[in-house]
Amino acid sequence: MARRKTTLLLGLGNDILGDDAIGLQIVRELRRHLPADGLIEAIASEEMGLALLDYMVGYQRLVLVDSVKSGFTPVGTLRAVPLDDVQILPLMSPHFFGVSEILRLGEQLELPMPKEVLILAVEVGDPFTIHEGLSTTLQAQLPDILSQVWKAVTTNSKSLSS
Amino acid sequence: MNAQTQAAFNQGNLRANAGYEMNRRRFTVDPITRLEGHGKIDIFLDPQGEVERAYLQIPEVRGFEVFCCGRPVEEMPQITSRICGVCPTAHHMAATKALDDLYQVACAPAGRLIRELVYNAFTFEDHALHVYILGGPDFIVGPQAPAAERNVAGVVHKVGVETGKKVISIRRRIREIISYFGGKAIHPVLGLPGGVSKGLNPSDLTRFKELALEALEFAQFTLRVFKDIVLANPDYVKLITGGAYTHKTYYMGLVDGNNRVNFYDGLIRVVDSEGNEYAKFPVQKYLDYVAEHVEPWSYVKFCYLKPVGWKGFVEGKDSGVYAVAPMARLNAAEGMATPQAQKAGEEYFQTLGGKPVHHTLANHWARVVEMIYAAERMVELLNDPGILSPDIRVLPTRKPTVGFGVVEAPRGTLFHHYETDERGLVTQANLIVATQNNCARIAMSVDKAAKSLIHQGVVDEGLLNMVEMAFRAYDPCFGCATHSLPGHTPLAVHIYDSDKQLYRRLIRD
Repeated sequence: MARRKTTLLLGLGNDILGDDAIGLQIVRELRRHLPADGLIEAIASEEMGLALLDYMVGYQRLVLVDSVKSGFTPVGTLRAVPLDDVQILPLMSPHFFGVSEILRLGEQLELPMPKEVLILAVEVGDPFTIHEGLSTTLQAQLPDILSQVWKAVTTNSKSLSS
Repeated sequence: MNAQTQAAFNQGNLRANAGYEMNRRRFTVDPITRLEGHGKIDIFLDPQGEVERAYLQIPEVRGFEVFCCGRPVEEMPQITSRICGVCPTAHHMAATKALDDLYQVACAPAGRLIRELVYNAFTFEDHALHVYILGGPDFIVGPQAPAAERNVAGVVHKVGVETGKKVISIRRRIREIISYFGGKAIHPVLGLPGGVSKGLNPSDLTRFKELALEALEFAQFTLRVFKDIVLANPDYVKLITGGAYTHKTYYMGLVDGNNRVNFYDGLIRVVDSEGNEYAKFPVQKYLDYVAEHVEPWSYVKFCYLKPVGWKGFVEGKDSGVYAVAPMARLNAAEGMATPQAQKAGEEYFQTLGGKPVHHTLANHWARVVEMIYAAERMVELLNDPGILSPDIRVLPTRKPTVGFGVVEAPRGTLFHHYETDERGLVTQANLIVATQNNCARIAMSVDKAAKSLIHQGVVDEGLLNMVEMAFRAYDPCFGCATHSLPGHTPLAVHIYDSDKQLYRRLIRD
């Protein structure tokens, strides 16, 4: 399936799991500022697993934003995660789970999968208690996170250090 | 140093040690415990190095009840479908049925047909995903295959690219039925008390009928794949019927008026380990039959049959442990309500030695039987002229008090129970999710696997594999967001010696 737009900005998360909604929030905010050339598609999805395949097919480039709870970095830290490392991330964030498998499955099935994949992970606080809204710590850093993601989306994946 | 000073010093020392211990714990690199035990298994050995006990830890999402209280109860089908990114439609439907009950309104006939159509479409696509992608590594690729091949790529290699494409394509198009009626497949907005929000336009009937027939054909194709790859291999059949995953427990599932499997509605039927009917009750009585047992080592409340009682993690008629999900559903019913599924079901029982089947791995096969039923039922529902009626909703007029809803989620019986004040604001909400019903039995499988593969402190490398296979057969869904995809169950096994010191750690990455 060929698409006119070349880049997919895909935000994952769950709106009722507090900080877990960060990926969705980022996409909802940035969607309003997409360049007029119309080459970037922005999708916020609470789905996971194979359902994401349908979204990814046909884009040349995928920028995926999700929450991660590693406990190693302060809340609000944005990291670019090399795709090769996603194998170990499932242990930390269920949404990541399967991203590499989905891409691999798509390729196996000879579907046009994105050749360039950038995974951005935002360190979060509590993503396991059902409630709405980001924590104040994360909320305070949202503008900074947004500008980092924006930079990554509009330039290239190499610009963000891992 | 006098006694008093000595005591103070000792106390200070203790505190410092405890503080150090806490700190040390905090720095332990253990992403799995950080997620409050996603599929974490703790195994304790006795002094001889034999397994004393294996514990399965799974997480629980917190704060659900607090979140719901005070909200308009009409929001529940939307809220509960957000709990889980895997089976939103099951929660949506259980919640919708609970609203019918709460407002004491019978669903409009066309609305009921549409709900059941959507529900069967959902079960079909979820089962298809499991058969090929989630369970595939175990049965399509094979349990003895090298680890590097036991993944999606291995599945595609074995069934062929064309079949792989077919799976993806049929699943996507079946999801279109769900989105047609409910908007986004992930968060349907279909169910309302007394009916549904959107009817079926006659001009769309033909394409849906064609799609349902195609789904049926695909289900039959899947049965052939299963037979060719799994049943034709005596080693697989031996594995399914072997003792490692066999537990003689009670079984629960929804049945229609003829005691046939139904995913959307009916009475809850329970059979004992010999297949005799033990109970049959409407969802409103679930608290008389289902109770929850709490263990100090787990967040999960283990369900058991209340009248039988909790006797621990043991099988047999005297133990209240029961199972849900495809194998249990087939056991709990007297047959399938559609002809092709009935035929497939008969063959299933015949091959596996009659009813009830106690072999956990038989879930994979039962799932294929259910795929056939779901597709046949879709065809039936679309052939019912009543489905085109524009009268899709009965407006509720009664005051709400308490409501119960039940459906068969792909993973088993799902209960929703809400209480409200007279304005319809939630005062209490309780869910029993499918996996919770199965948890005691899953814990038993894990314990059994550990006991058979660890001896004299020597851990068989096949342990993770074996535990994973048990997991995957149940297709557990741990609350909100812990469903596992191809080949990678987020799973860690910690083995402790008789001094409770960590002895070994196995992690599946």
